[in-house]
Amino acid sequence: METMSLKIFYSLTSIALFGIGMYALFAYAHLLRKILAVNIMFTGISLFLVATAQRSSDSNLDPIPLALVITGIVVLVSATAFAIMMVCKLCEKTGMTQLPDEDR
Amino acid sequence: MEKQIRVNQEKQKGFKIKPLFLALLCLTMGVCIGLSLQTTQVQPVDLAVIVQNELHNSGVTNPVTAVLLNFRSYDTLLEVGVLVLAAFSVISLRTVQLPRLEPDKDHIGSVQKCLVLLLTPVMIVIGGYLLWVGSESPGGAFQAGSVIAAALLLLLLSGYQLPLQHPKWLLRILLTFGFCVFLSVAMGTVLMGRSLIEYPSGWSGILILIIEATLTISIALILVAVVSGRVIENTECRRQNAE
Repeated sequence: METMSLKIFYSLTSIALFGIGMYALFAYAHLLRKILAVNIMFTGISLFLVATAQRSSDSNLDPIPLALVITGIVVLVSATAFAIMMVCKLCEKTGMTQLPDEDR
Repeated sequence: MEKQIRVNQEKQKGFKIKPLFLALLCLTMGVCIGLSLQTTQVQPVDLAVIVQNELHNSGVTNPVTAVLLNFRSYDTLLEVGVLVLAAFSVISLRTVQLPRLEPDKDHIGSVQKCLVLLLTPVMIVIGGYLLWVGSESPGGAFQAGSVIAAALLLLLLSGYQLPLQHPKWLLRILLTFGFCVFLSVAMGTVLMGRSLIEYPSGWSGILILIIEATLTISIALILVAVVSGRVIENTECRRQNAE
């Protein structure tokens, strides 16, 4: 019963993290903040996957969500590196740290 | 610059309702996700039992490693492909080609230099341990690769040079080495008439070890290349500003 409530707690935390990340992704124009927001959203998703890794059986953890999280971390790192590189290039070329169609 | 400041000021005036609306939207979405998690009664397929039953065929005893490098190894193959792509994108986007960090020599304390010399062998041994232990308990190529990458970055940030600059192709070959080995194993299994990355029976343990060892080197260098690309330009900018 205790693990059940812990699982619900982690799930709710992950949903909250996802929501916070999504809010930041839409609310801020600065591209670095958007990249950080995507990272926070990923943290929520991976926390959810890890929290639900123990499903029906009592002893066995489901290894597939864990493997997915490890894969996801690596993809996130490479995507973040590429995105930061693009932001740096944009800043170098235009002096702006946000996309031009955002300044309404 | 002035334009951007004006844009920011306008934004602060005009955007008073929008954040509230957005917050409400995100809150509603979160509540919806939470409710859907509570109400959906999907009977989950117990993959843990399936993995546990097939574990003796996988060549390793850690279920996560078995999933990563045997049962769903095409995921890992594509993931390494993404890493290699990211590394080459970062390398091609920056102006300086190879990881050569040259922080100001005066700012590196002797404590840092000594500590780095002490830590580097320890971190490399830990990386090797993580690689080796990955077959039976948590660990593996990615964990080992990131520890070794941290050691290499510490070395670079303390003013030491990696001996990878001299033949220009050496770094590129090492960056793609792990991916190439993994891909050739995958193609080999296809050419032998099996499905993609279906290891021949009895060979899976040694093949997984070879793939993980080469992947560790490649992942460590890819992470160093991805990080150091930015530090180079920052130090150059700082130097130009100082001049």
